[in-house]
Amino acid sequence: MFDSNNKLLDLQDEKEFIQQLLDLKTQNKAFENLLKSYQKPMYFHIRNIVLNHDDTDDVLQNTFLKIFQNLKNFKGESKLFSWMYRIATNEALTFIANKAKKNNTTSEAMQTKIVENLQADIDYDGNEMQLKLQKAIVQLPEKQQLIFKMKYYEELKYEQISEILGTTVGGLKASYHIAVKKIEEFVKNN
Amino acid sequence: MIDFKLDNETKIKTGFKVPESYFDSFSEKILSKIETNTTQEKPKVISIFERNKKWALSIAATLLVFITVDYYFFDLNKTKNENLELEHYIVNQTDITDDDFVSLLNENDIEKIAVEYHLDQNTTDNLDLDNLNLEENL
Repeated sequence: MFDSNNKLLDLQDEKEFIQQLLDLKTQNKAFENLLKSYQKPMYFHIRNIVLNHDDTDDVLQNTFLKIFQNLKNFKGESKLFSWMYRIATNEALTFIANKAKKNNTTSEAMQTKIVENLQADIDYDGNEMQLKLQKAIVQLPEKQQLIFKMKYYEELKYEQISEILGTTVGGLKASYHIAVKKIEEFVKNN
Repeated sequence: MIDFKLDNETKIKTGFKVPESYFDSFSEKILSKIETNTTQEKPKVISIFERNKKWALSIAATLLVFITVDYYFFDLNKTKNENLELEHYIVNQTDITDDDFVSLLNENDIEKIAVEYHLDQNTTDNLDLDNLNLEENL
């Protein structure tokens, strides 16, 4: 949960906030606060994976509905932040896998095609360098793409990414380093 | 070919745009969906059995106790009667001699009987002394 300065709440405040979310009397108000705090970062997290606005809107809605339905199952073993991001990531990856299946193609091939056509997307106004970076990222394996986007675009800490993806910080650093090298190589050659 | 280092570049953004006022209405959209889902949840249909479940289970449990108790005692009496009938049969059946019984026993059975009755020397001596009519039986 973020405060008014967009900083994550400390553990004690988060515990109190979780209590408000679980208490039926305060649940609606607390969930409204949760929505307002998280809608933007979660939107961009999902958009970075599924790439277009309409699909992001669908996934974001499903993610928040799922979060609300599963609040009672939230055990507090992980932070609320990482639990929510984990749901969002799973929803987004499942969405592109299902969409690719419907179109008789693979997630990778479908994502490459979307990036190639990004300039025609009315909700994209990236410059040449921004588009080149998107093209470089889509060449990476799915996990490396995810780690690079979360670290570079969303500026999440390795510890936060580790909680969300369940990968060690060391593993994440190595993956990010490899991803950067591949991207630099791609940009040099294109 | 230019040398490109990501860290040396100014931050490269995604280039994604969000439709105007999308976030203004998003939370309201979700909250109204949650409200609709909650109100549309069907009321629980309770079957007649479910409604009277407590009574039905009580009756079933009582019947089960009656049947079990009845069967237990009936079965016990039956066994007792069967044993008595067998005993009467053996006693009244003059054709069966002691030798017939002995012939049915093997060595293990005889040893078992000896253990059960603890027929050591002291026991038999005491029995002899206590039994005044012993001579008549010999």
